[in-house]
Amino acid sequence: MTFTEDDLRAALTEHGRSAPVPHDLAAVAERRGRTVRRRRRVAGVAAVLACAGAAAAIGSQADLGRRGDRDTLSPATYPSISPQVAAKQSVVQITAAAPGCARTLKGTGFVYSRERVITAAHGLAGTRSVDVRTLGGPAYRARVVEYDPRRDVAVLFVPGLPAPGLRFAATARSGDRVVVAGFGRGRPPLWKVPGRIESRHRATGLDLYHTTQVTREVYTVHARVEPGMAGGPLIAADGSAYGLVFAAALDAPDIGYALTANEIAPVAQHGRTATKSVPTQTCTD
Amino acid sequence: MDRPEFATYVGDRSARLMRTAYLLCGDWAMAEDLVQTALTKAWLAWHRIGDDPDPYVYRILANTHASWWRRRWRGEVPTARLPEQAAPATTAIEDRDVLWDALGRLKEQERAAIVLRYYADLDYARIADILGRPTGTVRSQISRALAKLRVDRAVLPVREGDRE
Repeated sequence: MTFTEDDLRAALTEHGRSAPVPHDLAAVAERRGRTVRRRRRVAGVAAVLACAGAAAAIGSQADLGRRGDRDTLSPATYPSISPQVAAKQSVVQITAAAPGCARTLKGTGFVYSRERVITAAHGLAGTRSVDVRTLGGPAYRARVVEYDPRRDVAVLFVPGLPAPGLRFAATARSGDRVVVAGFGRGRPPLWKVPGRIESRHRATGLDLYHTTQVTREVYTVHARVEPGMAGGPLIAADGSAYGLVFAAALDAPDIGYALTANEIAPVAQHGRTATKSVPTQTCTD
Repeated sequence: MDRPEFATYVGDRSARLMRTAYLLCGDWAMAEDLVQTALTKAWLAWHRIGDDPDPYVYRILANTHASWWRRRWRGEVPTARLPEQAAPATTAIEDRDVLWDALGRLKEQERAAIVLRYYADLDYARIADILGRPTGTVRSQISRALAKLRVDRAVLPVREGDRE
């Protein structure tokens, strides 16, 4: 004997009956709608609401649009290239030795400017000598010229490295397609994973050395990020970089996190002309 | 011109929308968030919505919930059970609570289809339209969901032991 459809209807109608229906729903919706519309106008962003749950994210999107960080970052105009080609040309493998803690760190980075590679700082923590190579290319000796443990970003100066740089993209929307490329552990060299931007938000957490609270702008990405791929780019459909992958979710195998291009912009900017070696502090645990 | 119309619609439908949202997510606070988000989107698109805003609003409700649910589920440990409710008095309601718990164990997509079918009383074609899936898929999702409810371990003993 099983339940009837009427039982099901009754369960759906009666359960949790004490429904506190707010009386000002229409007014709240209208107020929120006006705010969204105003911000949209400011940012010149059309139809952002098409992506679900975007209402809360729009405010910051509008603010970022005004800053125009993109212009300060993109060197002139680049032709659009496929993410696959972009990855092959500009994504590099980083091998760094940290004698202080008897460790060799292998990670990923990407060229973004002439002889400059940007990567995650945690892959360089406590290291003394750093090598960089493109897919199938020879190894080049690199020098750490920017090291930001708060953001988890570092820049390498690699004299003689012939690889072209990826340009940085404007802010991504949730749902945008991406390719995450890197040298994942136990994967064929230069592993490329398709994915999607889930959301963009300001995330607060501890810095690399667990000493201070930092708030960073990050993308949550629906993509299978493997260990070793941290430091790699989040490549947009036109071959530009939305950001830098720095973590994967511990409890969900297909969620990764990336710092946005806006977040890494100051470090990238300084690194463009830096040539002087900076200390990489100590290993992280 | 759209203002009174929007306000009237919300006034007429808010209780129903709230309950639909509650049925989707099983939590009144989140239901209110869902309804407000859906209505905000509806307000922004009000001039584009035809005579019957229900399908449009249901669609945003279902899509928004799906995206929230995905995000939460990725980020946190999923809980199969819904929040506890105050104990009801009669046997019939008790049975329905068991049914309600079992509903909470359905997949989110199946649950949305069940809610639209048995609470909103929509036909398969409209549900398919709202959820953006083929009618056949909706039909099979609903029948699969019903089958799951029928064999749910919690539902089974109550039915066989107490009622027969």
